[in-house]
Amino acid sequence: MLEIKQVTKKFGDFIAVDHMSLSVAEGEIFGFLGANGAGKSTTINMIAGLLRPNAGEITILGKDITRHRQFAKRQIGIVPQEIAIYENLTAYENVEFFAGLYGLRGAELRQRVEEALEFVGLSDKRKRYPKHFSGGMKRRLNIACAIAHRPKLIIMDEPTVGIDPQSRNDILAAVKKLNDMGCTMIYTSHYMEEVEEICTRIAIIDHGKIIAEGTKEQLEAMITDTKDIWIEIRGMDQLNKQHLQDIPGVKAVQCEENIIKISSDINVNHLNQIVQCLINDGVEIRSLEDQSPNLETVFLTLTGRNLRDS
Amino acid sequence: MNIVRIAVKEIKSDFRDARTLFFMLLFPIVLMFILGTALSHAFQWTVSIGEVRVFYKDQTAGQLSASIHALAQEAKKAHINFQKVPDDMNGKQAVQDGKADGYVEIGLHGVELYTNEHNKVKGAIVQGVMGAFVGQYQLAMAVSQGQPGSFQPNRNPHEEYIQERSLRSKRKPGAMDYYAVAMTTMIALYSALPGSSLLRGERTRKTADRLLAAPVRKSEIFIGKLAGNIVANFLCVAVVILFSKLVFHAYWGRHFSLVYLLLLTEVVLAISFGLGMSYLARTEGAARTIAMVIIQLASFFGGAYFPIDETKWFAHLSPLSWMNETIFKMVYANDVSSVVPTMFLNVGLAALFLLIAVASVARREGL
Repeated sequence: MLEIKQVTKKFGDFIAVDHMSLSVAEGEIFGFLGANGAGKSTTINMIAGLLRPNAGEITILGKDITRHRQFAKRQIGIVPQEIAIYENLTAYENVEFFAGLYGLRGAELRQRVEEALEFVGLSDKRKRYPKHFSGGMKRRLNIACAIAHRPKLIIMDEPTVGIDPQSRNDILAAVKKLNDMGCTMIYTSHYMEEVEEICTRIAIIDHGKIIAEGTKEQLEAMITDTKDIWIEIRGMDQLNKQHLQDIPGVKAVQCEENIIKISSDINVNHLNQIVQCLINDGVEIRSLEDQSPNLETVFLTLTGRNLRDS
Repeated sequence: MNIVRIAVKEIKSDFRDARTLFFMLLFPIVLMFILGTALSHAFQWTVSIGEVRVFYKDQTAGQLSASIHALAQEAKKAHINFQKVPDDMNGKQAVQDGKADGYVEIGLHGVELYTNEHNKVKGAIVQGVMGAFVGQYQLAMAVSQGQPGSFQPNRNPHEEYIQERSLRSKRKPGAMDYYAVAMTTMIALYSALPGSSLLRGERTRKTADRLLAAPVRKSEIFIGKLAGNIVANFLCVAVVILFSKLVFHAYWGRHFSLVYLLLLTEVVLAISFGLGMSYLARTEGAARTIAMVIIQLASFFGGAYFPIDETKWFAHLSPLSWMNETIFKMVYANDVSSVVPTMFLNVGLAALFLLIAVASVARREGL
């Protein structure tokens, strides 16, 4: 479906995407994981034809998107990170306007608009203006605007930011349903559990490069030598993080409120040293939990950063 | 087709925007009503003079005496009453006492005129009449000296030797007529505000990416939005004109279609100016502020709030000056000579601003 070969994008001296290559097969839900500024959005914008690569080639269904721009655009539906709708148009008019730009007319256009609104559960709100919508409803309308022309590849950039759990579940269900209907999906999110739940394959991007790519299991297998230790403490201000990082086998230390998260070598038993270190710093240990690796651990291990904090 | 679709969307959005309706419709109509009503006395063009009384003393005989007599007879038709007074009467004192508006003493050395300073209008009328009389009399004397017997002063006393063609029409704009034009041209200039957020608004609303992700060319988006905005703003201007004509009974003359065409070019100029400004300024807010300041200055110096002395140099810097002048000449003097130059000026300046916008859009990857 999608092939990216050695693509580079620069903004002045800053290299946003650096010789990136990847391929997305038909029917996949492909997850993009990366911190802010890692190059996700730039990559997505290049796929959607909003930005031109400085080097490399992007093909959709075997056709180069720079040479077959109009063809490529017709195959893609983009759900931008920010809600991109017109407040002065009704829900129906918003979907109708954007679908119309893809060449749909008359009865076909009306039918597709109805389908899209039905799909996102806004059929009964079709005549209402988005300014009266909740955040979740706006997000769903944002999706409807991207799918009415029945694209083969749907790109969703953080579609669940800032919405309630119910709306998030609805959107995730919609993503799966679209995929079941034959759409290939590219999905980016800051929520690791979402990516874990719906994506069939995941790429981790850092500094404009793909540093890991594969299924969830394949990615976790890359860091099977790493485990997480969660420690709840009292007296965070007395902790010297460097002391923990100096312990042999410790790979990364994250502190958040009264929780310390230590990613460490699974083969090294250094629990006693960690506890001793905390006692020496005058920190009171309230609880301690040893966790097996997950996608978050993978990300933290590979990038040295926590996704949500980045 | 995409251009039409984008333009229609633009018109729909504009007319559903409360700000547009307020600025482009309600604001000019309310201002027109307030200024047109409050300043109606400032636009009174007729002054009631009443009868003008002139005392005269004639100490001569012959040609000049006969001419004075003929003048007195003619002047009666214009309600100027020449009254011969006895020799012992003090005419100057009579004028000073307000018994007469002027006193003329015709002696062997010429004609002497006295007027009352307290009534300058009547005094000026008497002065004008006497000035014309003396000039005409001297001319007649010169002719008769060259060809004696060829001039007969009493042959046709009201024959007109000079025909005056006035540049001012008989109809003058009243306060409502004035503000109907001034507010309409001002509101056409306000189109610069939506123009300043025409494409930039798509970026801040984040819809620019969605538009560009669709199989639509940048040029289609540009033309569609520009066309839609021009139509929407011009419709507002048209509504304001119709409202002023039908409700306030403002006079718009006989060249109605030319007035509309002229205002259309002003709307194009204003939107293009706003659009150009949105690419010259760093932020949307800055572009809007600059546009707003320029609109206010142009309105003030262009006579939107009160008539500006046309002889002042700054009066001609505002687009409203040249628009108002052209419309008033067209409406009240039936003079359409400056319509085409004004249109070219508007369209030319619009092209300049559009060029800035087009060059900026072409350089960018987005809108």
